[in-house]
Amino acid sequence: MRLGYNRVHRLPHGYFGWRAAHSSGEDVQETLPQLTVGDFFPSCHLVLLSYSRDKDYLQIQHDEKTFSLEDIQSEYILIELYNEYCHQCLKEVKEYKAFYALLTEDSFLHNQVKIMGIGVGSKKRQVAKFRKQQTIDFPLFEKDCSRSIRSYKKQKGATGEGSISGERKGRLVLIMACENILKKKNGG
Amino acid sequence: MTKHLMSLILSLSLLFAGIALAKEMPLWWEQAEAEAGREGYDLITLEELESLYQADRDFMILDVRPDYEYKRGHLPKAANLEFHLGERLTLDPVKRKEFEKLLGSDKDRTIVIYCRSFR
Repeated sequence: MRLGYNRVHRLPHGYFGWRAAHSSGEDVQETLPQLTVGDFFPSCHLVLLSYSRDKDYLQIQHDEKTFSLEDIQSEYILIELYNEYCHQCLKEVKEYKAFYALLTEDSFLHNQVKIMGIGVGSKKRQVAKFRKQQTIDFPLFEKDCSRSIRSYKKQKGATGEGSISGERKGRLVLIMACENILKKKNGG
Repeated sequence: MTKHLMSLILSLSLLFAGIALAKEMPLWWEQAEAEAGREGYDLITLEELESLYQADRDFMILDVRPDYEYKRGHLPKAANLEFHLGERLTLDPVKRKEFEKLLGSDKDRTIVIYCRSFR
């Protein structure tokens, strides 16, 4: 990005470097809520990008282009919050894909657990491109609600980097890494 | 003899200065400098920024983290406009206008940008 400014400086230490060097300043107390087991999932509306394909997979009954998590006809939803520039996320995508394949083969679980991804900081076109490049079969969505989710602290001690699993009606039941789910599935 | 002695003193001075500088600079500094060279901006240290604040000069300080992080704490007088890594390649025209409005028309104004950390 070039905007034509001649005296642009970057403070590479960033906010945390400054904060480490200055205990005062305009800091405010952290007041973020913490997502814990049993909490309600933050309200979330998403836009279907691959309309028919994703609508069928998520078993959404209405014909609108936007939907909320409550519209998904499965008991559990596993959501990956990813960023396409995050190496850990790319690694996790492979695990999600493997888990999706396992679910697809299981006639019972296929309808009980649905997987979807939300591109943090990504727009529709980027999400579509990422899905194609990574050959991801489960639905991906642009950021819409990722900010509200990111505004929550994760459960203390949770192992997941960005995985949130919740009941369809919105009550958060579990936060865990897909890697661990795969291990459990494989009897590890 | 005097000439050799002066050379030795100068060499030792440079060596100690180098060691002192290496102690002050974080390990990633060279990488940050290389990135700054590629992207066409300069780096500013914490001490230099402190001097800017103390000199009370007109400069813009911009926090490019998401707004909810900014609200939790930010540098003094910092404005906030989120900038994603993906926007390094393509910047939406609406967002470009937002940046230009915030930064102002003076292209020689000193602008200091920061995010979470270098990593």
